[in-house]
Amino acid sequence: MSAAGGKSSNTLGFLTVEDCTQRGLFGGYLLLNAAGRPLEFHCTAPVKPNRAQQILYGTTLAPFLYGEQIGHTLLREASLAPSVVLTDCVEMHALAPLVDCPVVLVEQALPARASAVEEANLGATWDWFAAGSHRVAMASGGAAERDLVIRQMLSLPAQFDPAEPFERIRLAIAEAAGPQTKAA
Amino acid sequence: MDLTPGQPWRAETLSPAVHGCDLQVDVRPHYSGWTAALARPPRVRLETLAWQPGRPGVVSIPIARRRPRVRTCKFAAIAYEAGGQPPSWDATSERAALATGAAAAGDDSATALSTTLSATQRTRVAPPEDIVKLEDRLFYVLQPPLESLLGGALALPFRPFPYQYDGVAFLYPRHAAVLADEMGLGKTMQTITAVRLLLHAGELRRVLLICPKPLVTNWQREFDLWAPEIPLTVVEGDRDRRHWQWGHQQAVVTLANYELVIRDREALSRVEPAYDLVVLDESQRIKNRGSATSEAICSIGRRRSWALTGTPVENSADDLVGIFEFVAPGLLTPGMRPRQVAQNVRDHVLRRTKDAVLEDLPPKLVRDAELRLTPAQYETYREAEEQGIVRLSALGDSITVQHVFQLILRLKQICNFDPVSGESAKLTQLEADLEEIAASGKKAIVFSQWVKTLMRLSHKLARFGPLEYHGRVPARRRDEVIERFRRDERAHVILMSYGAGGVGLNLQFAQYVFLFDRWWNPAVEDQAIARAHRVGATGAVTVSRYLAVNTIEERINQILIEKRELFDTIFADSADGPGRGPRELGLSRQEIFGLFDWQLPGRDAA
Repeated sequence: MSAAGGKSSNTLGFLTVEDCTQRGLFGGYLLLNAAGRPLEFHCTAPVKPNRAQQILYGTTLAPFLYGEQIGHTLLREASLAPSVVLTDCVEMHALAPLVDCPVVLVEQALPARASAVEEANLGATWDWFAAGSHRVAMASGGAAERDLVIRQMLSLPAQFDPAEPFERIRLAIAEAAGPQTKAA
Repeated sequence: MDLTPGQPWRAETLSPAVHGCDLQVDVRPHYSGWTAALARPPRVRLETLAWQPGRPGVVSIPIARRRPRVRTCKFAAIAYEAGGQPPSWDATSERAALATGAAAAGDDSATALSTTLSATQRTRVAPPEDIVKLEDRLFYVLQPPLESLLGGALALPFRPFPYQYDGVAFLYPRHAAVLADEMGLGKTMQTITAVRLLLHAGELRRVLLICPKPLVTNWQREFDLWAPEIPLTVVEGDRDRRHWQWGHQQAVVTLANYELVIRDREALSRVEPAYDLVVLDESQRIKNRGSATSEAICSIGRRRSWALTGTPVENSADDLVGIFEFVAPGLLTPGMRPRQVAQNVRDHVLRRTKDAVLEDLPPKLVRDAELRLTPAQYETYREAEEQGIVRLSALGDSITVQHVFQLILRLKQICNFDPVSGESAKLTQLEADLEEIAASGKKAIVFSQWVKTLMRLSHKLARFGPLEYHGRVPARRRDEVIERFRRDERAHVILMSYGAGGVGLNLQFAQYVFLFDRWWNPAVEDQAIARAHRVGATGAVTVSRYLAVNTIEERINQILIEKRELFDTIFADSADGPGRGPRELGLSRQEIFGLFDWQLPGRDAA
């Protein structure tokens, strides 16, 4: 983990990327304490790949932008190190090898998959498992990390909705970047 | 070769005879001298040429790997959570708090807050417009939804209505706020909950709450119910005790009434440090700028100022100027145009009405029945008005508002019944309306401000089984009257005075309300109508407001309409929207005089 602060078992990271048609990708990273209160928030300026990047990166462009460019940058900026980073972006699997805390995809926060192909692609990249009442996935990591994620998720009460903090991030991005930040 | 039969075959016997023939041709070389030439090595000329192959053209496409710029906000840790249990993520403590809350409520039928919070209902705190710094705005944007904050250790004893969550979300981030909800929508609960959240978030440490004296116990009771963990001190007793209380405040919330605040103004001015929040209940008390009350209140040191009122505008937009002298000094100035007032206070005032926010309420159909007095009745009215005006004019500068008021009462009584002929245009209309109501088996409530009128009506409406509920009915009999009205199928009408029947009764089973005469103040009329039109009513409620045209009633009504329009202009953006306006716009002294085109005498005008 690149963040300066020590890892806290009471701190959860929520990482997402807002795709705004006109302006590009805005990354948002929210650190919450155990009570769900904000501790830190970081958001990026819009990131927009040029034509060359689109051609040369091909299908790897999205994971590169989401994971390496945005996700990794945001995590490096944070002074607190969370025990787990939750995300609602399937492209964030590229972040997992770059950080030393588990990057967890939360099914509850994902938009509904339109097709079986999407479902299959998701299954191919992410390794799904149940953590308490939540269904989550990790792109890499061993049994120890998986146990850590399960313990973290089990420590949350039943009524906790892991999709909710992502709404906060989107509102905060809109506040920081202006009202024209409209999701694609 | 011949072979005889029986002779063995042998190879030699088969060999053919061979005859040779020399085919050698005699060849003789001819020496021409060329052979030596052919034996000489060839002469080779070497030439070295430089080879410069062309390099392929290369186009370099840089792939930017610059990291994006990042904006960072860090928030101070919330103090109370440092060592405590997380309030929203701890189901165990929520259940404990629920049990405590239910016990405090002492009401088994109350709906306790479910342990499972609704995923769909999320009330978020939006930063007010006057917060400019992005970090401060994001602090509010990034807070959890109120439904989440008010779970766990901060669980409420009852589930608030969605509009109440909105009210809490409105107050929470504001340093200058006016909560102007219609009476009965729970301003007290919303305020206590917002204070509680801010206290637990460490944003408040000391709060002063000022209310009218009769409401002190009500506030205590409400704090016990909604925030039992918050220490509360009531400033009371003799002067020495009060001064000691002002100077040695340990309590988080201090409760005082207006009169004591004025009396203890000096002691209050020495309170250090300044209060984090001062809340004014019934804040219309400071509408008159420069009054002792206003000056005493506005001099209290404070960081946040909240005002609660059901009637932010009683007479004119300047009433709001008075309140804003406390809430946000300088935001409004006297004489400001209503539209400008509306623009300036837009982000500071929240106003909702029951009609707008209580979705379970059945529709209310209001019709103004404009009636012409009978000729004899009008003649009596005209004579009384002319004589009264002459008599009052003769009083000159000694005329008082009481003199004018007496004339108005007299004229209004004539609009009900002609004391000379006994005729009543309103009674005729009421009888016609009740015929239809009784025929359909329905029930009606008739309101008047005079017991005498009600008793007269009771006599005239005997065929509809009338019941009376007013000041002359002994208190011990009143429940019986209501019960009979509920049960007795022959009792189609109950005759009520505004004073006795206007509050506290549940008459949802009545589908019709008649205002036989009009009260001075729409708030009282609305209270009366609310006896039938309330949660639990099974169908639409029809309200008929009787109004005698070309009389004082029409002029009073016109003034009240204009005030409603003024109110609507100022609060057009509020939840109730235009047309649902003010409820407590009584007549000022100037307006009472103006009903007869008189000017307020100098002494009264001052």
